[in-house]
Amino acid sequence: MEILNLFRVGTILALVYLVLPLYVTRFGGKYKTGWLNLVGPVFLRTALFVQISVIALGQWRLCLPGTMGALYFFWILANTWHSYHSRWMYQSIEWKYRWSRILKRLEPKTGKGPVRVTSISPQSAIAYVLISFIFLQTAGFPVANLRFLTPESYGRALSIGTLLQGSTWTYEGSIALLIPAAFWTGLDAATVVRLSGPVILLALLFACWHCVKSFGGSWRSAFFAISLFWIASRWFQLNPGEENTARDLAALFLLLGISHLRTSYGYAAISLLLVVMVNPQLDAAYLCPLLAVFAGLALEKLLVSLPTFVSRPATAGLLLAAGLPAVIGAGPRLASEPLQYESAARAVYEIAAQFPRNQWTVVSPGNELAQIYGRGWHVQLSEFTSRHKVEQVSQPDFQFPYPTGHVFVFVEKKPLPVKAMAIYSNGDEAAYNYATQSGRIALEYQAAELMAAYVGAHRNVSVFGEDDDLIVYHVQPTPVKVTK
Amino acid sequence: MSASLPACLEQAVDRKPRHDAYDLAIHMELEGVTDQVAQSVYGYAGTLEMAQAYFQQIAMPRPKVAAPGISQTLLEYFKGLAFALPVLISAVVMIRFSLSLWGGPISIEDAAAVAIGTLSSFLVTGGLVQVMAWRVLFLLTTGDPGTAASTCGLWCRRGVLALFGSGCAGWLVNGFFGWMPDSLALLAVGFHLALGMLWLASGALYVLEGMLWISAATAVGLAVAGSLHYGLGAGLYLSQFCGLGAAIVISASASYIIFRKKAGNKFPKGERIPRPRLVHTAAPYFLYGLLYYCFLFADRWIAWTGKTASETLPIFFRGDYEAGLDVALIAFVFGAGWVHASTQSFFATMQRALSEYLLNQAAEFNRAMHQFYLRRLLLFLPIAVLTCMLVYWTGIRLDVLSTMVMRKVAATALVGFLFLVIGLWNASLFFALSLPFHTLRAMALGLFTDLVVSYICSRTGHYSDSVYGFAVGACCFALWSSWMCSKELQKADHLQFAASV
Repeated sequence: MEILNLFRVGTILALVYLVLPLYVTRFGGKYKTGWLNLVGPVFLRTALFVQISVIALGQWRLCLPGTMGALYFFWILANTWHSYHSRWMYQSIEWKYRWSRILKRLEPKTGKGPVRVTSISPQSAIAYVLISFIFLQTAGFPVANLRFLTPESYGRALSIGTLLQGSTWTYEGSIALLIPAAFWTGLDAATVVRLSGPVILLALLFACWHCVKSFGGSWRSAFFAISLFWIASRWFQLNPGEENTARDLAALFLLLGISHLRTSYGYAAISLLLVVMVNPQLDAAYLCPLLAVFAGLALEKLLVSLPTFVSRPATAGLLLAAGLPAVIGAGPRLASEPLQYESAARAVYEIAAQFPRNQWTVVSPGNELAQIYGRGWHVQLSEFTSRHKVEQVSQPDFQFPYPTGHVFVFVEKKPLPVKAMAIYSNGDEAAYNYATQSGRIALEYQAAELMAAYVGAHRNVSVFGEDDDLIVYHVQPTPVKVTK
Repeated sequence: MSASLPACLEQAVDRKPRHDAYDLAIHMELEGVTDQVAQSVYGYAGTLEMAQAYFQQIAMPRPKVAAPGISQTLLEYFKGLAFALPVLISAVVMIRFSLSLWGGPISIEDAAAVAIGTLSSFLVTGGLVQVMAWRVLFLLTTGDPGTAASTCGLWCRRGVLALFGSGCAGWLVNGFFGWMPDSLALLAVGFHLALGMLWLASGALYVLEGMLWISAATAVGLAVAGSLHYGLGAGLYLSQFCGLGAAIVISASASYIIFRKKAGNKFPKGERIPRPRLVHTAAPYFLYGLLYYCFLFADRWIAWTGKTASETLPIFFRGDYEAGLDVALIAFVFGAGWVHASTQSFFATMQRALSEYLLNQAAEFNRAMHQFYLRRLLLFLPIAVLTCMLVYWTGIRLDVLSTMVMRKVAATALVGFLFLVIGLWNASLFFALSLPFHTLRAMALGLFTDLVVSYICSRTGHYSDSVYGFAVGACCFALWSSWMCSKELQKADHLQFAASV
């Protein structure tokens, strides 16, 4: 299922940023050059348009599927307008001509047209294989796990959620480009954030290749650049493609900017503007793919300068030396502390799939909110424990004051190991409860005690899911029936 | 014929009266009266001069076509209202027995699913019914009821296929986006199919002017649903589907019976038109049907999807919005009667004008038609405004419009329906005068305006503000089409000739 979702995210992102704009730009045959030369400019133009649109609409709380769809539609029309010299949109004779072409296609066919096959050279195929392996390595974690690796990802998912719901939105540049995927894949914000990482990495790898080509490098330089980038990023624990969308996107635009420096200052400026917009906090890690590109180019230069009898085995050896670690994914990898039990994330997705939208409430620590936002309601576990007392919930006539038909209480049997992320100061209950180990243990203990008391006195409660780490209680108050 | 006419003129006019002096001159030349003969034998400068001299003498008074009387107009008006009879029956049964063929006392989630199924059934069948009506009416008026029957069957089959195709597509799209649970999606698809088939069967009956049959089918459908639900205690949806099934069977059977009466037992194969030609000629009719229903439902759809962040479904049925629109619909029904009567009256007037004016009086003919159009429009406006006010007042008095949202929606929709009636009148004239693209342009403009205004209003304000889009869109549709119609009627002679070719 998650593989299908990855395909959905990838397809929509490719359609929105590449396929449709590229098709309409070439529509009418103004550009006689190959379509590959248009990929960079078209992608940059569309990305800038979406980025600015989302930011502007988000501030007005109007970043909704209809508004974005309409704007994108006009953008596509604008591309067509730009590309076709005879201004077909307002010339009725053009419309009639196109209509007659459609009618002609309806006539019975007499024979089959020629079949075009796009060929890929064997050398390029090696680079494609490398990229595929890297993509598969990166896609493995988000496909197999529903939780996130970094706290920023939870924040990013929540940010997309608030945008989709038309709520007040705080500026977050790195999510703007994911909004079309969130609208048109039909997936929730958290899934889009989780699965967009590998897709963005894929784009970054192709941007490396593009950059190498723009500096006159061949497939060998591209191979070296991609391998070196991958090995270096693992070595320095940068983990590209694993949810750090902001940094990956910034690196992608930086590469495109550098590669356009020789052909168009306009597109280079657009790229740099996008770098600043997606991640205003400049990070040295942006430079990793760029340095890899130059290293790849330098390696190729070195190999070319060697005599043939040396350069051939040297090339083979270097390709193997660089490619093998990248393919097998060698090198240290960031061993991140879990911020949420995987079973908790899975329970949220099961609840969302089984129960009608907005008719359930989850009581849990804060991280589930990113996966719930827009689909159900969420109550902080700390609020739950502070509002209710054991004596109160053990009364048979007690009902939890939540107006939904289903309430799910997440209680960690083994409180999640927490790496202290905040220093407890007077009055900062949230920091104490969630960011310190003792606070978390105390919170989960209180929740377990409350639920034990409630289960003892009520029949409308069952266990929705349970494993060694977590138990999810399902409380069913009387459902509210609204009639027409 | 005058005895003093020369023999050549007697021969030139003996078959039928000539239209004008030029016409007479041509026929005189055919009889051998050339310029030379006219000069030498009859003493005129030429054939044309001679024809002009004699034309007034031989011009026969044209048969006068009587203007349609009040009773005829009223009859046409009630014929125009007849389409609302099934709605009236449904409304009475709903009020008296709380039963209908779709909807009723159901949960708000189910109501959303039923509403989606209803809307989609109209959208899918709207264009196809228009095409079917166009082809079948053409074949009936050309005296080929057998082929008309087969063509009707062919388009109905295509309609059913389209319903199943769109139902499956809708099911898959819902699965992709997860808008509603599978059970609700199934309910929506069920009503989409059943209602779509009912519209197809009713469409065939409308073409055959079997209005009473449609009413009978509706009544029987309601009776079946009622007896199953209240008598046998069957579930509401099962009863409704059985009722709809009964209505479909009766409508389809009635169409068959009427066709059989017209064609005997001869049902040749349906029309075999090459596909490109069919698509080219049918496209305006199909698009009109599609655009019309899109226009009618666009604001509803936008209202149902607005401000649903905290609702149980992303598409949420708004009862108060629908109630306001339903009240306004009453005024539209009266307006639709006027559209039918006025269109009939327009063509009766055209026939009369054709008999009154000679070929060289084209300007007078055009002026007469243009003036008739403007007179009708000016006559309609005060009556329509009064009707709207009366409907609104009655709605408030009967406490049907109990909330502010309902009142706002009803008042705005009444304005919208008023403009829509004007637009529909123009559309019917455009189609009759073979100018379908004017209708499509005006309808597309109205729909675009409707979508933009509805969306912006409902997303920045209350969801019910979506109704402003409907009013503004209808206004654009009416104004644009009226302007085009007024412009075109200044060359009514040409349009009449072109349409009759």
